[in-house]
Amino acid sequence: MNEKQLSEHEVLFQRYHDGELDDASREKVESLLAGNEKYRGSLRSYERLSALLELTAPEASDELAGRRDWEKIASGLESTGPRKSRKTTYWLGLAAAAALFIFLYYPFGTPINNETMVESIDCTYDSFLLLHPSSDGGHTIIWINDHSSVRN
Amino acid sequence: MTQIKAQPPDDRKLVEQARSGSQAAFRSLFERYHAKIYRLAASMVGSSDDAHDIVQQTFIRAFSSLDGFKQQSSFYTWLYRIALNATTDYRRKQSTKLEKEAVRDRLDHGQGLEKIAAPTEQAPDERLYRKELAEVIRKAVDTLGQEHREILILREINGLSYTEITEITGLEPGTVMSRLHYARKNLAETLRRWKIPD
Repeated sequence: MNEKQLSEHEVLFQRYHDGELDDASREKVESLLAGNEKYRGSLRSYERLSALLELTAPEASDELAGRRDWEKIASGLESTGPRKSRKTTYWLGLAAAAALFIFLYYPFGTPINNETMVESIDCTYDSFLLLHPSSDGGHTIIWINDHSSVRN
Repeated sequence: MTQIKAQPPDDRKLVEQARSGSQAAFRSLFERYHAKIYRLAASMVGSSDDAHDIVQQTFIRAFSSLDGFKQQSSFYTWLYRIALNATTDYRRKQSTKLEKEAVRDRLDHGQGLEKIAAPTEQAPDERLYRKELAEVIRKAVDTLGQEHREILILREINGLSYTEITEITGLEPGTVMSRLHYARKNLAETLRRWKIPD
């Protein structure tokens, strides 16, 4: 962007046109304008441009459209919520995950024991197998095939 | 008898209430600023339907970001900033540089301008003329760079002060004035090239 710094006059006239000057500066600009046709010309070009731009101003939104906007916003708000609750959700989620972890691994303070002592096996089962694979940490697996009820 | 008028709650109070989850408070803020945000969006994107979409996005984004709003600036300049970002996102999705250049090239060669002629005794339709002229002005504004376009629209169409523009855009006051100056200068040159009647 090739924009050189504005001259003092450019700043003054622009501010004058935009109503951004205090009384003293405004009087100064008005005296400059009174004595210089070129300055009056540049002010007129500002005014002409503003008048043309005013043509592009949109029409105001009507009440019904405003109401429709609110309805859509309100339904959006229900799913969004202020970000504060997002923070809360984060901590709640973390707490829930921690609680689940503790519950699964230490339910009610009792550690889960996968080992169960089997004292006897009911031999009315169709068949059963005792497996003692070395890959399973030395644990015994009991496989039972119960077809007795089908046979009856 | 002295009549005591209830003062409407200020923005700060409504923001606090909305932050605590009050939808009614947020609705009050919506009713206060809806028209202004709509005007900003419509002046930036042109289409009324799209402007309403942007209004909705702006308020939903504002509500979800309320916790991050520290009230160091006024609520409405903060809201304007959100709306401005939403329009920028929208325009980025909608238009490509090529399209913009195509419009500029076409109008630079005077095509399309033959349609708009000042009203005469034979064709005195002033309203139609103004409508067509407005369309060409809008296209001319569209050829400006985004940084010029935004400042020009904020000032000329939305009537914001330099201070407000500074707060919304986060630019230095000198930069705002400079961009405004060059936006006007470039626009005037384009209109001269396109032989737009005064």
